[in-house]
Amino acid sequence: MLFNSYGFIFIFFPVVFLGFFWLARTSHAYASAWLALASLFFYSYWNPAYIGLLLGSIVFNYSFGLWIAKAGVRHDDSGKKRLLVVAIAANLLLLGYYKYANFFMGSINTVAGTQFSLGEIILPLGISFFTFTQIAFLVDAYQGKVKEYNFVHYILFVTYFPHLIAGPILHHKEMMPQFAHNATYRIDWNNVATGLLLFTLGLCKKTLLADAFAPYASGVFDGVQHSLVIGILPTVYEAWAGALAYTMQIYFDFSGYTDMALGIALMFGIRLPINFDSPYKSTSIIEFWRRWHMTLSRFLRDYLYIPLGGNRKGNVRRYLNLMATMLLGGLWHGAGWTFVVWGALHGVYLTVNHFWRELLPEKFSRRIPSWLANLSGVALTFVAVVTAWVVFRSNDLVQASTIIKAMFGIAARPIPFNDVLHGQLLPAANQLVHLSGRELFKLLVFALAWVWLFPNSTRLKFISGNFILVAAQAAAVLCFLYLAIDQFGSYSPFLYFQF
Amino acid sequence: MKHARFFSVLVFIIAAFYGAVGFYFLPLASYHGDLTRIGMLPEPLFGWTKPQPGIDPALLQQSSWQDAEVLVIGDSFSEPGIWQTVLIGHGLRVRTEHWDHIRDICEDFPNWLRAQGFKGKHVVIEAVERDVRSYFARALSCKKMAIRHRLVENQPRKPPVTAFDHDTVDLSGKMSVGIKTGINMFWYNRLSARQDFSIWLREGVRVARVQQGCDLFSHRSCRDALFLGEDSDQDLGEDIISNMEIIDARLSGLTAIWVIVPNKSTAYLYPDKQFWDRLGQRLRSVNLLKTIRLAIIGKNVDVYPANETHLSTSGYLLMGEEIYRNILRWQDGSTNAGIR
Repeated sequence: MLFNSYGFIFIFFPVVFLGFFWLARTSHAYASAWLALASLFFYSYWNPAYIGLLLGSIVFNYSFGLWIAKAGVRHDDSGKKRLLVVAIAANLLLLGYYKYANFFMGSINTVAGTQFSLGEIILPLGISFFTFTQIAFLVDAYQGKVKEYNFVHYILFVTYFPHLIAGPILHHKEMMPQFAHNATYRIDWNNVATGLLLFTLGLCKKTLLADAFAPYASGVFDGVQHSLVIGILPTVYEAWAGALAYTMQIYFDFSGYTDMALGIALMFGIRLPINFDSPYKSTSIIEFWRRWHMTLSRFLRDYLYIPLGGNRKGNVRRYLNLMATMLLGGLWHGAGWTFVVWGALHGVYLTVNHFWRELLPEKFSRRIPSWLANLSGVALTFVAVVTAWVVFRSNDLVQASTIIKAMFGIAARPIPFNDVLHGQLLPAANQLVHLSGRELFKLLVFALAWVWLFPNSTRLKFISGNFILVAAQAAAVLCFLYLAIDQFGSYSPFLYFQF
Repeated sequence: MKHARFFSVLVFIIAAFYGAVGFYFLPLASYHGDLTRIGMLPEPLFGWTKPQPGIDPALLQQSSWQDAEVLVIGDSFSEPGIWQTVLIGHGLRVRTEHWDHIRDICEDFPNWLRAQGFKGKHVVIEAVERDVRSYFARALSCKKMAIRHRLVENQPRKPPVTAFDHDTVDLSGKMSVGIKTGINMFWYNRLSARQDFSIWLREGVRVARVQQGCDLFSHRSCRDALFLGEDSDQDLGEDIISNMEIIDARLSGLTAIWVIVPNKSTAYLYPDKQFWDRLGQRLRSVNLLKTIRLAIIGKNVDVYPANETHLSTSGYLLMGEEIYRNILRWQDGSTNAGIR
């Protein structure tokens, strides 16, 4: 079930919301069980066949978490470690089978010229998210950090429907206590109002912006894929149009989903961690990764980079650890070489960024006016990120290199300046869909102003003061809800559902 | 807290009301025809109900440039490849290109066509009446062909549907469109109940009463049919034929057959136009208005379905038969001068 669907907004959410607070008046246990059941229904709506897999994964990890904790109490360190290794291995095997088996088989076939096949494997929705969430739980159980083992709360922690499919990646210690808290089961109208604002904002980001950019991104990327067959290169403008369109699409799509998830959760009195903090305002790649998909960065840092040694074992090891972390981070997004290269590219960016910071004496950097440093930092980071998104979005590396070469004028089809002036920037894309460069330009100006000038959505708060102000906010929310809902009518899943 | 409660309850109540109304009308927001879609008029009232003939998917195949014997340059009446199935059924190999790809028939067209590998002789040039002026005037100043390459070559076409289940509830449309369609249905029901009802213009679509409509259409409100509002009762002028002659003269070594599809309004409401007769006297052309009028007078149902600007499958097959007859007629490649 999608947040941006009639079924969710007009049926599922109101029923679950009213049911939760009605049951909470009788029993908190009933209310949390209701929420858990609703979350499982939400998941099974996509494909009921995979509900067994999700439940199996929950029972398995919960049991192992419990056993690891008991082994800890008995001070059985070797038993505890054995249990942890088995449990993590099982999780990785499951993820590996569903997500990576065909990729590795395909790669082996390419190298060895063999024809092995595992048949078609359907990727269960959100498997990367619920697997990573539970690996973190197991590791924390091993380290003795888990304080609560209520099974219903555990189910909720894993399946809680706002985050289940595309994150944020949760940490049990920030979720389980909230499900145990009495205040969660009492309706807090301030939370509901702010949640409504946040949900509406996220819905608008998805339907009015991300979906508006999608045809431009698809038009250019698909156009280039087909053009390669007949030997036509994209122009500089087409390449940038596609790259920027996708840069905006993925941001508004994913951050829109996150805003909706945070908003829905808040209406139930649950605070989910922030996942985006205006990432395109970053002045460096290091900062970008502190602002983009923050819960994934946190997971990779805590459960991969630091256990690998982090920066504790010298610079060379630090750069190797960074590369390894980013490569696996890339692979987490999908089984394909484009994701691996995207991860590697960011690994290189980070390494260069750290190296540069060490190389540049502080005395010298102080001489540069801060506005100039920030401006050039934002511009350079943005171009680097956009370039990497091209690799991320491309079907293969040939397509990616064709677009990147065109972006930087290395190999591009010339375009008459008259066509540029008249807004006919996308003739290659036009062959697939009718797209106007002028329309894209208007969209980009608005979107860039949004990502660079607007405050982050998490600053959004309901303002109470007087009834006129409240009515104005209600009118704005209803107006934007109407505009966003009026975009429904075709299936438009979130990009991060595939990861 | 009381402000937040007021705000939340207000938003929830209004959203719930909109959702309830929206869901009620949502099934009306899905359309099969372009006229019902443009006019936001209800498909249950204007959707055709009499089954149409099926088309063998094998006949919908596009030939390559090298294999084709007949090249069709056309618009949305030719793009689905339905009328061409008659030609293919008779053993001809046909390639269809849309005006959007070809853009114009420029001065170097024959040389360009041969360079593509086309070895055939017949070029069927098709356009719908309302677009004729723009297509052919544009071509006059064109010197050099600059086509947009088809990015997806020879995609298999889907055969047209033969029937619809009007009872199927489709909830995939837009709520606002469903509500507007519901309002339009209300007004249409009120207006059409009047004895003196003749025409109602809605969102660029004309709902018009057609004489003996229930003999000609199969939809529920068969007394009335939908027409494009921009369709004119004015006949096409001599200047267009002159333009077409200039283009025809460019096509040396090829046998051009001109096909002008009458607007639906022309076929049902303004059938006395003389353009097709005059065109037939000056160029190798197909008198589709005459063919379609004969079918309509013969009480052929849904030649153009009520909800469409395009022909039905049976209408397309009539068109295909007439074009095939004309291809045979000019099989020997008789010159333009020969028909003058």
